[in-house]
Amino acid sequence: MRVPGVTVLLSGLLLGCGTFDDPSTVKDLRILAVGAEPSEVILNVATDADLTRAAIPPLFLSPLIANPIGLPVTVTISVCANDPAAASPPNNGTDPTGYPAGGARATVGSALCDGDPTQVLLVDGAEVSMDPVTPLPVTLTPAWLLGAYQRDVFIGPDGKLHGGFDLGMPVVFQITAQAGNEKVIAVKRVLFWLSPLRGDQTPNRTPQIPGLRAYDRRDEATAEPLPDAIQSLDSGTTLEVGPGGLWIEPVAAAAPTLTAEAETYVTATLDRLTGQVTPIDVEESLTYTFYASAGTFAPQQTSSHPPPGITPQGRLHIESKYKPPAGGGAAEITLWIVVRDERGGASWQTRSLRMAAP
Amino acid sequence: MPPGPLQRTAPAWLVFGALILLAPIARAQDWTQAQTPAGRAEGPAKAPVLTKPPMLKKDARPVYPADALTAGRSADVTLTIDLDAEGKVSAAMVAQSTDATFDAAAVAAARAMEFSPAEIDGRPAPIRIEYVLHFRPPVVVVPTPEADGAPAAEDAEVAPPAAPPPRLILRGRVREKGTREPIAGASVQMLRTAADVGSGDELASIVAISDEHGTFEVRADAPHGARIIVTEAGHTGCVRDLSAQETQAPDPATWECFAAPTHNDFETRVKAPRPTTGTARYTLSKTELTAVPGTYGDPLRVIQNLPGVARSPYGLGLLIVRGAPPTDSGTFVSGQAIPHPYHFLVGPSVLAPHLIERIDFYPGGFGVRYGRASGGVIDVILKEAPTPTLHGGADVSVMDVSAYAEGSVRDGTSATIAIRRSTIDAVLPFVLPKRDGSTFRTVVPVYWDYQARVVQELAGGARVGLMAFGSDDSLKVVTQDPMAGDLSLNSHTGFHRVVAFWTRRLGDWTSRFSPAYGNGDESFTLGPGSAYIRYQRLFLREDLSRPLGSRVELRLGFDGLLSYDTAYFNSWYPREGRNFGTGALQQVEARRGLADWAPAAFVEAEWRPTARLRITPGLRFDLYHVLHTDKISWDPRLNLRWEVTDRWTLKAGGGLYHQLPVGQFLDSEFGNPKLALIASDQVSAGVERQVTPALRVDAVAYYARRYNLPVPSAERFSSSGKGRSYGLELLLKHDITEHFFGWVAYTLAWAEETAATAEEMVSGASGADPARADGRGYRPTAFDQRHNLTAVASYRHHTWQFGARYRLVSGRPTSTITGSFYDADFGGYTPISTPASGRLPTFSQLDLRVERSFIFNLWTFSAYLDVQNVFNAQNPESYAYDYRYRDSAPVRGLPILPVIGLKGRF
Repeated sequence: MRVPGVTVLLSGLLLGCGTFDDPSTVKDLRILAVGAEPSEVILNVATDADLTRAAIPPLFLSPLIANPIGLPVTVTISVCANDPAAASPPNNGTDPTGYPAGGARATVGSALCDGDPTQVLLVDGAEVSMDPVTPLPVTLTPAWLLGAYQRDVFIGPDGKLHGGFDLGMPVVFQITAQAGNEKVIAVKRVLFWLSPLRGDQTPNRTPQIPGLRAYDRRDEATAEPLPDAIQSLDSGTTLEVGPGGLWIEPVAAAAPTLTAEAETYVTATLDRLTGQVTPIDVEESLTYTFYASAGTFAPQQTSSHPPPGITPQGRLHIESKYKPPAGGGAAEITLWIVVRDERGGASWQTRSLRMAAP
Repeated sequence: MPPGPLQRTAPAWLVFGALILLAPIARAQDWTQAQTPAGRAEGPAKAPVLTKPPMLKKDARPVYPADALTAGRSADVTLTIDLDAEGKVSAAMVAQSTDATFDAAAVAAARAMEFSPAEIDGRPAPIRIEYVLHFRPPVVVVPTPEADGAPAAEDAEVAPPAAPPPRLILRGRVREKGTREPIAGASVQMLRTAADVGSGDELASIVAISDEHGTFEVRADAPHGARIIVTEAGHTGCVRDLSAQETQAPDPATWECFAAPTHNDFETRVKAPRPTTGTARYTLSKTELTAVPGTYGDPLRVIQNLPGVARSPYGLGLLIVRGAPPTDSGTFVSGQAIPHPYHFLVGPSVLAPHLIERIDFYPGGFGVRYGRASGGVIDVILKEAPTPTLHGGADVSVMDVSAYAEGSVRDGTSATIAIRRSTIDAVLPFVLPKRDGSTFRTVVPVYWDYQARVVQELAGGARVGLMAFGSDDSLKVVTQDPMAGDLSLNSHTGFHRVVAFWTRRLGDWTSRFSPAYGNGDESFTLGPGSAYIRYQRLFLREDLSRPLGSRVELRLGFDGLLSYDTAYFNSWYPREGRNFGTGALQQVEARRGLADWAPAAFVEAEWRPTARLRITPGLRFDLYHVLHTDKISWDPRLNLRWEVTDRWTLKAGGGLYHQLPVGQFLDSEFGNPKLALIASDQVSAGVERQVTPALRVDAVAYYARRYNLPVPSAERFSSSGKGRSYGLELLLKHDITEHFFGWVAYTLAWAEETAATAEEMVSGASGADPARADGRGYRPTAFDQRHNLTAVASYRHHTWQFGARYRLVSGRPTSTITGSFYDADFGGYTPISTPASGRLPTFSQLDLRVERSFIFNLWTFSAYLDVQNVFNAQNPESYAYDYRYRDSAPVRGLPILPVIGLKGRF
């Protein structure tokens, strides 16, 4: 009976909620993204014995940390195995699309490593630089990976065991950033495959944002920027922004949109009817998230694919409107635009804006 | 010496008693139920009928108190008189008195009265009646000239032979003012002038009793005029003075008398004695069902104020019984299950009040005639008795408009029709907040429902009928994404039922055969995605009962269900694989066409080893053939009821209960067909105490173990969920009297489970609680409300009725969020919390209702104001959090909500 859900939704509409800080505005210490290189690993091993002898490639984690206070930032990283029964479905049950599939996707845990028996400390209080972001090397041992694979199993809808060995295993990293008394925690996963699902399966390539453009006027009917309003927002340049704000749009080097950046890749899925693991080809979805040290972005997140229920009118727009703070505020504003794919790949661009004189 | 023109007649008192012994005299008292014989089928199969009212055989004159006589005071004393099966007065109590000076005299007179026995279903039976004694000072009679000249006439030398005195013939009819219902059993008394009486004074005497049509005829000798008085308890009297010309007129006089009711408009004046097969069963009369503040006169919403029922958040019509999710409780209409009892949002129930005879609510421990539910049961009994008089009415409020009409089509056949349509969709756009930057555009909830029935009386007490009812709800919400366009959310649900019934005697058996057909749909659209289910249902129900000797009644029956469902599902989901982030969603489309059946059989015996002990064992068998699998259940149940004394009753019961999980959890593609039947083992025990004829206390302790609950798992769903609920329910209830009814319900309850169940998810209860998924130990469910206190009171004074409802309820469990971390793959924050570790603040709300009626001879008009949350209490229903769960703000429940309505009845 979904009626109550609808009514609760309506009640929320009727009665409203509180007024909170906008998530796109960075006021204090925050981890905005964590890059991983590589963001996906194919080990090419067939047996447990092969795994114990495998050469595990080094990983580099790059936390994008916004640090408005400016105090030195130290980072601690630990790792733990995926617990397929922990706090599921993904994103801790807040994923509305989890229904009606129940816990079938409860195979990617979403809990912290703290307290987990497989937790291992990898980086202990390393001081990091913000510009450029410091990549931190982390090394996993074959023995630890073997234990992680043994931990990551569950009984699927077909009554058989599934887990990291046939669906890919997320290795969970917990990153803690501390600046003075402020401490923030993030979780980052890297997917490990024992062997390729098919011969053409390749590890994920981290998505990039080749360029950005900005414009303060657009055709309201088509949402396309007016040609004379477009400005390039290159790295190292600083644009002036008026009180009306700007649209900021990720662009490819030689194309108006970035949809060409999305990869088609091979991954495994559990067939809903048979419960068996089946390789499928998927076009990945890229998500762009916008942050500013002052002012707000709306929407804060855009995607290379339309969200459920939205029928695009014309091309899909991935730009976001930046609105400067009402009172002027900081003269220099930092923008962060992060791109993520759905396989753990993430990168970003950082830009600066300057408030125009009133 | 002849009396002067203003002299009082002697004796110096006049009492006229009103015999008001029609069916309906007895007030609704469970006390009377306890005294009536057993042996009747439960529920709608056969309602006991007062086949012969008691009649006054021997009147008794009360002694007019001397002081009152001297002072010329009058009084009306309403007595409650208990008659045994022989018609003898076993008890007499003053129910109401306008002057206590007269009470003792009235009681003494009542104890000296004798009556003919009342009969229920053709058998002498004890009964409680009301009897009003009207104490009036002597009537002043103006002497007629003839009377003054009487002595002279004696002196006359020649007196012609006296002509036969003219004979008064008065043909009259007494009906209730406003409803035009005939008043049967009203006493018609005549007081003649002194001239006709001769010397001495006359006590008004009963000269006629109105019949079932309210008609009466008076034939008397009253050449000098007379006063005719029509009285009946529960109504004001009618008085007509006939002049000498009228009493001597050659043609019969006629009189149409309308007597205003002194009781509540919809009061059920006889409550049929029915056995209770559950430890706790709460039955509400029509007045109680339609006059509780905050319910807008909606009978089914009143259920939410009874013990065992948790408060529904946001004022929604969720039925949460003893901690079980709404999907585990069943709503039956005349024995047939309906998909949902309420319209959307704060809408009313799907049945119009006018067609409802009564509502039985079992918070648990119900008998074997009910099945496919493991929580509580509501059984709405629609009126099946014929309605010979044409009645109708219309209601208008800001919520909806409705109209109904009922009456006799021809001899033995009566019909009813009722319709309702929402008006809130026209009102809502004017009251919704409009905020800058809001993407919310419109919400359009529309509901309507209808009911119709035709009943035919047959020979031998048999009855056939056909009822049709249905409901339709649609809802549209439109928001706008400034970059991508409109996002619309449409929802529709509706159902229709056609129910036939045939009640008759088959030798010693009483049979009620009831086939029914129903269909319905539920659909949901979110942008281009949609889902719907359309279903056809065939119900076949046979209830049989017969006595086995003098102490046992056997009941058995068949409860069959055949269904065909078509379902369609089209939406987006993340792939069943290991991707991070929201990713591109996969469109999933599925169609189903499913034929299922679920036959059930039950048998129950009500055994009365003594007159005060009733033992009711029963067994129910259910087979569910669903999604190509068979699941069966055997549910033994037992109930005991021991009337220790006239005032004390002990009761206990227990049994097994099973039901199917929600259908989508059984689907082979999205659920798990291997799920077991949801099961519940229930035990309860209680005590009832009749404190006064109108006041009683009912206390029940219960424990229910719930298991096989569907919970999300890696297999999508598994039956590994467990739950338990236990507590104490108290009800202090003042039954309807002339001016007042009310109750205080208190429930102390625990509802616990081992994991967030799928039914909680689907009911939306856990949606606002993001950190509930945990599989360890028992913890409170989303429906756990530890303390629930509800007080309801309604007072009627003349044409005004005032009501109040106050609720004080523990807040429901929430997860206390102690922090959060950033999920760098999903780009959002995940709260760190302990499931069900906190509670929302205590809910407190006062609702008031005032109604004013204007009673005309042929119709009544009422206006009411029903105000929910009078003090505009800011009750949090949940919390909203900022993006990283550092700040929170309460999401408030409904603010003050006044609803104005108008009602007309004829």
